[in-house]
Amino acid sequence: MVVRRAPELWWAALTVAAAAALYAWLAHAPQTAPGAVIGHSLGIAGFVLMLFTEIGYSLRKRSRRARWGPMKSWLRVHIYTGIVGPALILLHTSWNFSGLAGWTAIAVAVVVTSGFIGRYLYTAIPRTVAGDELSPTELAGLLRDIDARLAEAELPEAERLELTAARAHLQKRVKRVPRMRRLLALWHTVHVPLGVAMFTLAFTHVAIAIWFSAGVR
Amino acid sequence: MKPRRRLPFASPLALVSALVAIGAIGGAWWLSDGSIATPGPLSHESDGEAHHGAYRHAELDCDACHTGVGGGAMSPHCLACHDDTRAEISAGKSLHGKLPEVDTCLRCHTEHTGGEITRVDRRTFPHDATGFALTAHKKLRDGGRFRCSDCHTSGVLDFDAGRCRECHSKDPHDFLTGHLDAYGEACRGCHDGFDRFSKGVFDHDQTEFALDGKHAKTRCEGCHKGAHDLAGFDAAPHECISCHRKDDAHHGKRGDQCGKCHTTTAWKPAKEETGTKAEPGSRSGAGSKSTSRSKSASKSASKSASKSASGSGSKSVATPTGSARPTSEVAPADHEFPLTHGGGRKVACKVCHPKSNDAYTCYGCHEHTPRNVDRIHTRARVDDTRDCAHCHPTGRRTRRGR
Repeated sequence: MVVRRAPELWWAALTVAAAAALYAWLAHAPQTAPGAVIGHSLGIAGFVLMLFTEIGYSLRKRSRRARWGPMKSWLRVHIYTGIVGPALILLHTSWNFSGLAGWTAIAVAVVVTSGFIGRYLYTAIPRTVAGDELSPTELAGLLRDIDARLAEAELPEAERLELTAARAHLQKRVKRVPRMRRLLALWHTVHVPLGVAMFTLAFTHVAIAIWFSAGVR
Repeated sequence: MKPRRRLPFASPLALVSALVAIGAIGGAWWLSDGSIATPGPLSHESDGEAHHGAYRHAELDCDACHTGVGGGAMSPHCLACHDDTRAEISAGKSLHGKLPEVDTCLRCHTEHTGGEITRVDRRTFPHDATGFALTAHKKLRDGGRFRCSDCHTSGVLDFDAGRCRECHSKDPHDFLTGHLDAYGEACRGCHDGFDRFSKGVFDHDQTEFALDGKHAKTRCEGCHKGAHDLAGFDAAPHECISCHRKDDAHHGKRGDQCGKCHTTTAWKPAKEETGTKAEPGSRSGAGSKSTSRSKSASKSASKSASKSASGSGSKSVATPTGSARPTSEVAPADHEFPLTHGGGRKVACKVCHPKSNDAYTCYGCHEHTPRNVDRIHTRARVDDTRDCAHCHPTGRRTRRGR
C-alpha cells in the first residue's frame, strides 16, 4: 500500500487539499491578493515551512553529534513540508507570475519537481530503518538470510512464494544500486544549487517586498 | 569515522549558484529599470490634468510613492500630489470629504494592476457616508443585482437626480407624478436610501405628531405641502388652528385651542364645554375651560339672572359644572322659539340675543356658520339668510328646500 509506504505524501496531499479548499472558500474576499492579509500569510507560512525544514534536514543529515530522530522521519517531514510549503506559495501568487516574484515561484516549482525525482532515486537504494544506506556486505547478508529461510523444509507454501518474490525484488535493487547511487550523486549536485538559487530569489523577493510595502496603507 | 561533510548550501557549487542568482537579479533589475520588483505595471490612467508635473503614475519613479522602511505612511505622499483630493478632504465636501478613513487611500485605490487604480468593493464601500445608503437599492425591479452604472450613468463620481425619476416612473401606479408635484424633484432632499418612508416602514406616530382619527386618513400633502427636504417636513405646524382656521365655525371667538373641545375623530360631538350650552348660572363655575367669548357671555348672563330671578339662581353657582341645571327661567312665558333648540338643554339668552332681547342671531352657534347656511340656502334660492326665524319660527327645518 502506498499509504503505508509513504504516509507523508498522503498527509501532504490532504494538507494541500485543505489549504486549497480554505483558499477557495475565502477567495470571494479581497484578502487573497499576494499583499493582502490571507495572501501574505500564505506566502510567509510557505516560505517558513520550506526554509526551516530544508535547513533542519540538511543540518540533521550532516551533523555527527545531534541525532534527533531517524533520518527516515526527517526525510518524511522534508517531503511533507516540501510539498505543502510550495503549495501555499502557489496560492500566495494568486496566479500572478510577473517579475522577480514570478521567477521565485517558478524556481520553487523547479526545485519541487527536482525533489520528487530525488525522492525516488533515494528510495531506490536499500536503507536501514534509520535511513542509512546498506553496505554491499549487509545486502549480501540480507540475501543470505532469505536463502536460509527458503532452505527450511517446513516452510508454508504461501510464505515461500512471498520470500521468493522478495528475494527477486531485492536482487533487482541490489543490481541497480551502483547506477542509482551515481544518479543520486548527480541529482544532489543539481538539486542543492537549484535550492540555493531559489532561496536567493526568495530572500531578495522578501527584502524587496518589505522595502516597498513599508508604509503602504 | 567518516570525515564531516560540508553543509550543502555552504558548498562552492551552492555559493556559485547563489552568486549567479544574485547576478541574474541585478542584471534584470538594471535592464528592466527596476520593474522586476513590481507586482505589475503602473497605471496609465489620467484625468487629463498634471499633478505636480505628472499626468499618470506610470511616469513616476518608485520613490515618489514608496517611502521605504521607516519612511512613514504612503497616503501623505499620494495627497502631496493630488491637491484636488486634499482640498475635498479638508473641505469635508464631495466624495473624499464624506468618506470615513479617507486618509487611507489604499482602502479604495490600488496600483500595479496596469489598469484602473480605483478598486471599490461594492460590498464594503460605505455608500451611506455619501449621504445615500443602498439599503433600499439591493435588487433591481426585475430581481437583478444593482450595478454602480445603474444609477451613476456618467461615472461613479456623478449622480443625476433625474435618474431616480427614470427608474421610479416605471412604477405601475401613478404615484410618482403626484409625489413630484407635491414635493419637487430633488429626491435626495428627503430620501437617503434607508427606505424610511415606505408604507409599513414609516411610522408617523414616532414623530411629535401622532396621526389618529381623521388625521390618519389625510394625504401627506395636506400638512406637508411644499416640503422639499426633511427640515421642510419637520416644519409642518403642530397647532390645529394652523390648518383648520378655514374650518373654524367660531370665527376665532373660541380661541385657537381646538383640541380642548374637539377630537381628531370628528368635529362633532365636541367635548361638553362649560358655558357653551348650559344655563348662565352654571357657566361661571370654577375651573371652566370656556373660551373668552363664553366667559364674558356667562358673566353678563349671570348678572341679568341675578337681577330678575330669585336667590335660587345664585345657589346653582356652587353646583358642580356637569350636573348644573337652571332653577329659574328668564325667558318670557310667550317665548315662541323653543329654548331647547339645538338639543335638550335650555340655551342661554345671550347665545341668541348677544346685544339685546329685541335682536337675535342664529350665527352664534357653530352649527349655523355663514358658510353652512349659505350653502344650503343658495341651493334653496333663499336670499335673506339673516332673518332665520322668518322661515324657521320653531327652529325646525322647513319642507321647502328639502
